[in-house]
Amino acid sequence: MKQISKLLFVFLVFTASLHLNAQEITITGTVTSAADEAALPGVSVVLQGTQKGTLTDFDGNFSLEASKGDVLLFSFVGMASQAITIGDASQINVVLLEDTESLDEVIVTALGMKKEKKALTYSAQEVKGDELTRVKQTNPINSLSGKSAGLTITRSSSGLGGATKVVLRGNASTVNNDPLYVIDGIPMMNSGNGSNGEEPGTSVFGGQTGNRDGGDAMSMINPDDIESISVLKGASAAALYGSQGANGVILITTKSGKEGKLTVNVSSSLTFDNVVSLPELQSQYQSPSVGQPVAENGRVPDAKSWGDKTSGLTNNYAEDFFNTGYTSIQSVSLNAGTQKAQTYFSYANTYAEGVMPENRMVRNNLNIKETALFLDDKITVSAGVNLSDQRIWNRPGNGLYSNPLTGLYLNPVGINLDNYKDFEYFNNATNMMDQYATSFDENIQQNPYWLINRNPSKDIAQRVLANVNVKYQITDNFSLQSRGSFDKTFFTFEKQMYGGTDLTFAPATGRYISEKTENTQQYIDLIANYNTALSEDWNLGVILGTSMTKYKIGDQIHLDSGLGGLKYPNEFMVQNFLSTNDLRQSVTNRELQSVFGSANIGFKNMLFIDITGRNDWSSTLVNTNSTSFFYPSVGLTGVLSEMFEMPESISFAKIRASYAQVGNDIPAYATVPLNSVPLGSSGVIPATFAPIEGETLEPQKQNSFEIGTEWRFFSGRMGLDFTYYDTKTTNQIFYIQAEPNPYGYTQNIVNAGEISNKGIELTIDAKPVITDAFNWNTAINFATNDNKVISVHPGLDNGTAIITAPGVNGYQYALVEGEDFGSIQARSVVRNENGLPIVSDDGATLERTDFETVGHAQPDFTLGWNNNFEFGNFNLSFLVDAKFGGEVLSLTESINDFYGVSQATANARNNNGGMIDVVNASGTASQIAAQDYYNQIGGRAGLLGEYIYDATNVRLAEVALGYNIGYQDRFIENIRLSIVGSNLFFFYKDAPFDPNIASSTGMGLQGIDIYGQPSTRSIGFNINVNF
Amino acid sequence: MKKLLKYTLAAAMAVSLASCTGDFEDINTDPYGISDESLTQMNNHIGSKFEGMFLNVINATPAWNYQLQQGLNGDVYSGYMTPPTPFAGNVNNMTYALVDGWNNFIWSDAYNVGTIMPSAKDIKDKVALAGDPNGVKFVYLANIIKVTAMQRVSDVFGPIRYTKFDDYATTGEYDAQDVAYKAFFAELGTAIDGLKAFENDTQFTAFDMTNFGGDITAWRSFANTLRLRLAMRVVNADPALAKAEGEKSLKSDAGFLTDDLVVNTGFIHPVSVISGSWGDVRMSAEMESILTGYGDGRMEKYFNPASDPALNGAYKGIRMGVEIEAKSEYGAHSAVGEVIETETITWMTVAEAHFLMAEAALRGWSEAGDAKSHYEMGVKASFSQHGVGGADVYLADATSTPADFVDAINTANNIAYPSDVKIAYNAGGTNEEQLEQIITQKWIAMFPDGQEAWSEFRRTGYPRVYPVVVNNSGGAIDTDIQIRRINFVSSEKNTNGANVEAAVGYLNGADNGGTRLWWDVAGSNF
Repeated sequence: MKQISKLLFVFLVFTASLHLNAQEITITGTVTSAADEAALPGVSVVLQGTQKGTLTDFDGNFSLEASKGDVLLFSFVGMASQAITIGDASQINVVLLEDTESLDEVIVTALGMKKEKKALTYSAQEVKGDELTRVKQTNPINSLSGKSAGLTITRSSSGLGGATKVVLRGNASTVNNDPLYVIDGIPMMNSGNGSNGEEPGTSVFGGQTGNRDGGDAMSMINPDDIESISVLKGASAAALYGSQGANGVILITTKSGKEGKLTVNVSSSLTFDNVVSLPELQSQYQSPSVGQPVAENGRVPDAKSWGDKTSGLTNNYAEDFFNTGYTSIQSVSLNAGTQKAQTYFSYANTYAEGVMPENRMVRNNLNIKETALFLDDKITVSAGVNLSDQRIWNRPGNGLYSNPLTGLYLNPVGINLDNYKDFEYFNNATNMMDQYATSFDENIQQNPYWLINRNPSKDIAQRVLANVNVKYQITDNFSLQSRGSFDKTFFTFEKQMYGGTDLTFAPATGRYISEKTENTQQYIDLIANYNTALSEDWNLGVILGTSMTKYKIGDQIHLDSGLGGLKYPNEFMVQNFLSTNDLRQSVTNRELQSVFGSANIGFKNMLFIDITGRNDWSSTLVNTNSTSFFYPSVGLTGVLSEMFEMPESISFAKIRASYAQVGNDIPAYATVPLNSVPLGSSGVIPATFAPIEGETLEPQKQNSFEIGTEWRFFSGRMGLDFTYYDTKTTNQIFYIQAEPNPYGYTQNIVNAGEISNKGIELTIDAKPVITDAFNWNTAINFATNDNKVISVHPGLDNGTAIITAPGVNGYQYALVEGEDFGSIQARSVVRNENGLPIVSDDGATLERTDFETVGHAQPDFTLGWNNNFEFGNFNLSFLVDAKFGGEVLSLTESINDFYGVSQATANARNNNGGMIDVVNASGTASQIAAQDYYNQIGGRAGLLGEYIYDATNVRLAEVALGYNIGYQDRFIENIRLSIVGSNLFFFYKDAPFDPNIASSTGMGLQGIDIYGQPSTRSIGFNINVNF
Repeated sequence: MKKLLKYTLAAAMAVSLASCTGDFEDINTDPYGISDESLTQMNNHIGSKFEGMFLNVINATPAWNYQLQQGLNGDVYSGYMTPPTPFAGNVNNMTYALVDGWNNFIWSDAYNVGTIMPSAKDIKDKVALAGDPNGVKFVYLANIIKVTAMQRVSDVFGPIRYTKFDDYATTGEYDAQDVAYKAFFAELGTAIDGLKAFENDTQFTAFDMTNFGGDITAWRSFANTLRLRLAMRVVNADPALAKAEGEKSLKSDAGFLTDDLVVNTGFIHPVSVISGSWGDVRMSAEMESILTGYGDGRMEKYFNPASDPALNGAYKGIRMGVEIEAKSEYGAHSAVGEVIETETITWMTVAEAHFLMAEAALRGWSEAGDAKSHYEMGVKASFSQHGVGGADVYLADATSTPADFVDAINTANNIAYPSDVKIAYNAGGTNEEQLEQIITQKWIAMFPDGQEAWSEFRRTGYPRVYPVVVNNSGGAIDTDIQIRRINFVSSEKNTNGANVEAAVGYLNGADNGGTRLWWDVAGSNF
């Protein structure tokens, strides 16, 4: 840190001295339109390489300070931009040409290649860096929500540094629906810690140490380093990435040094977070324990709250428990460059405290990127190193086990939880401190303060991402490029569970878990690029390339003292382990080799044909019929506005169509079954799954077709982008319950099934008001996806592939033929035609259905509405994010009901004499007590179909109000102050929790809330200073 | 264009030189897996398979697995233990609403990778592959353990996949229970006879997780005692078969158990976790009635006094299938005691061998000896197993009878013990009266193996297990006749539907908990 500040100081002095040398003059002039010679108001005039600039006034006049030799950039929507170098004249008049090809906008596409947007044969959407950092999120991907059609973002409930589930155009795969992340053209590894072959969080209980979110690599990128993000949604867009791009690609372009003078950007933000959407708890009916003696260990006789109605109770412990969290991000970036060499350097420090007590995070990011030109500028070499270090203390989990929120919400009403803030007492028998808690009957109900203080955890993630890119422009139209990257993340996870923790999770001597994991990816490619004009009308671009990627994911040493315990209590070190049953080493190795090529043919700048082909060889396919698989794509674009005479109001029109086939290889090691020593045991067991006898595995296949059209109207002031796509994924990898076999395989791994995704994406953007005093930009992103499971494996008797089996609980997640992807299944109360529950003959037991589909986690359609207003130096933006349809299930509510702590149970006890109206099988009306009713429908094994909620929600996702202070001819060029808010409030929400938050970013626990950390509302300030 | 070709060719060459797919097999091999070839060292390709069998006959870990395999069915239905926990709103196995998600484990602990059936097949295959004629001893030993386990599974469901299991083409097919039992007898007979030649062989020592330590003689005596257990099980269904197999045991040179068969699992007894850490199981009403009624000294080994101060240190049990609102109601009743405070699981006791012989004598099987003396030796063996004194005084007690049950929370659950069976053996009683004495004492001695105790209760009707109070079976299970079996598991129905349907045809009724198994014959025991 000291070194960095020293460096910073040197740069600052350097900057200042540059400034002093400049001899500035005042440049004035008028900007007019070539078409009608009218003055153009609102034209942006910027000094190239700086953020210094101005807008033309109502009469098209401008004035600004600049030096001789500086370059002024004039730009205006619907007009071709112009650059003018300042000579001796101080008066510069500019005539801008109307630009029907304002869509000569360049976008970054597959392999990091820049392409003209108008030539694309598929849908791609770009989000600029400043849009992402307006309201900074600790995981930059979260900022994409609502800003791109067809992109669904679900944050994990583990708060700071948590992973994010991103799905493009709906779930298509049974194994993995994550898109491929690509940084500066190189596929990036996004595996977190814990997703090491296993899905994170597939258990309702959450495992003995809690459902762990290991984070993901994306969350470790400094948002300020991002220049832009392109979202390539369809398979066509991603076809060049072959197997890895089947779920779409998110291309991240990071900032590079730019030619021009040295600039420094300092930004500081501070946001405060508060919990919202807490479950409603009752304060009318006390626990029968109230007034009863409390045992030495804090235990009360009855842990539930089904006692008498009493006035004057308080039950606001949940509100008290959570803190106001805050996140402070300080970042600085330096940019310097000559025509021959450019440097970009950035450093960011994030410090955050979560809303959960004792949860905090520190992250440091350092990024250096150098670009240099050699050999008459024919060779470009750029190299970058990105270092990050993230430490998270007490990352909140979810699930029922080892989660402070269960004990918090379930606290017996009327028992003062403040008495339990002192979470331990001296146990004379053991001569050590022990947990002081209200209940030891249920292992899900530990003292929340004990858990946060005596079950501390620490997650460290350290990442090195280094890359080199060499490009040799051999001739004007032929270049060779090679890139390599080395991406390595070190994870450390440590958890100490003190003796006194519930014995289900830790023995009386305590438990210690220490885990070290490394993820490594090495990538190298070689690409030849050839562009030529075949004739006056025909253009040809050819790319041929090859690449190789080696993965070593989840290279882990897992040391856990387990239930064997520690020799000397509460001494947390490996040499103090009593048992070696819970030690494990694991790793997933994979190698992918590829050859790919593409040809782009352009005709008269109005018709473009794009053909790609890629062949992959994957190590995971050994012992199958072929390790090689080929994927083609073809696309066609016609620029209608070039082909036909269009009315004045239409400035651009194009249609596009493309077809692609991509594939996905199969899980590593699946075809080489070996014996193993499973965790928690010392014995050797054979492989637990295998292909069905006589079958072999093949790569998954995805065929996708999309058509789309893009229009721009009124000199580009309004635009429309529409896409329809139809994707079929076949040969899915399923792990299904094994058919009977003498080897005892519990699962068969099979290729089967077909999943269909059809949908529409529509983006409309407009600039309804453009004056020199006030500008308004608005954009709407709409997407709908019809996601159907056409078939699963024929071996599954009832067309159901179970992903999360209920086991002893009431929640099942499955893929069911004919239904939407991801059926949430549960049992429900059987009701008569009037909606009354039916009870069995004994008059007390509710009739229940079998497990059946009660909802689907995926939304029917999503809508994002993004707005930006500029008035003078002020800037206001807001984003409304909406999801319609889909269902969520709340296990939190069902267990709160079971314990009688929820407001719902108080309401039921207040109404109808505390009785629930029911009928018996013969239709005779009767009643059962509210407690009997909730005893049956509530709880983790209850009739959870009663806890399904509509996931529809409309929220004010982001608001930012900024003020720019521009200085001319000062050391400081620009200061931008802003007030930002995110996740401010819901215009509409049915669920008792925030349905945008997932219990797990893995496959298994979608659409269910299990005591996840409540959603937070953030409000804060940003200061951004440019020097 | 020519140049382009040249560069591309050069690039392609570079790539093909730099890499090839030849090492894919290595890359795709889990470095932390163990190959079959490597396992052959020190005969682990055979020996390692025994561990999964030793740990799954009665599942040793994790405790919740045991709980679902046996703790929430046989241990309760036998009248041994009752959970104070109203799992799933008290609509569960205890109240006869059979929970498929639980009962799957009874099956999977026998059929999944690394458990009983696949391991036994694996051992047989590996021995055949090795071609060493001495390897057959491993097959015999594996078969003894396999029968030990599968008898238990069959006693839960009835028909099981057994004789056709090893062949892929027929592996899904079920055997009727009598077919499975005949296969058990055949395999035990072969093993007992075949192992005679290996009595001094020590190769099994390294793999034997029991207190026998690889002693083949001891294993033969276990197999022979097991044969007598099985013979007695089928006595009402096929008396001739029972007598024939039983007398084979009685005459065999293998003899009967002289030491309890105890598996050293290396994991704390799962009941200790369930009763202690989780507080999810407590003493049953039947145990309270019989042990307190008899003033039985084993009670303080089996259970702890109730921790509820209101119960004043009394031993207090819970009746199965009662209305429970909250775990706290009965949670402070008697927990399970020191009998489960070890890292071992007992498969069979010397006491049981004596009680089997006592019944064989009662039934007049040849060379069975005297019922009364075996009965008394059985009781004494059990007392000494638990380090309890006073067996002679106990055996002389001709007046004590089981106590009536009084529920500490809800008097509606009170019930009188429906028999005045006494301790001192009454050789002058009717056969049924003598049998009730033998089985009642065997039931006490076999604790905590509820699976076997439940089977014996179903066969004989002894001891008198109280019926459930709440019956959520929807009429499938008669409250007074009580639960007779558990329905076939859902994983089998999902993947092996046609064969399960055929297996239902082997039953005497519908696939539910009310249908009696083949050996479960209503009416008199004689």
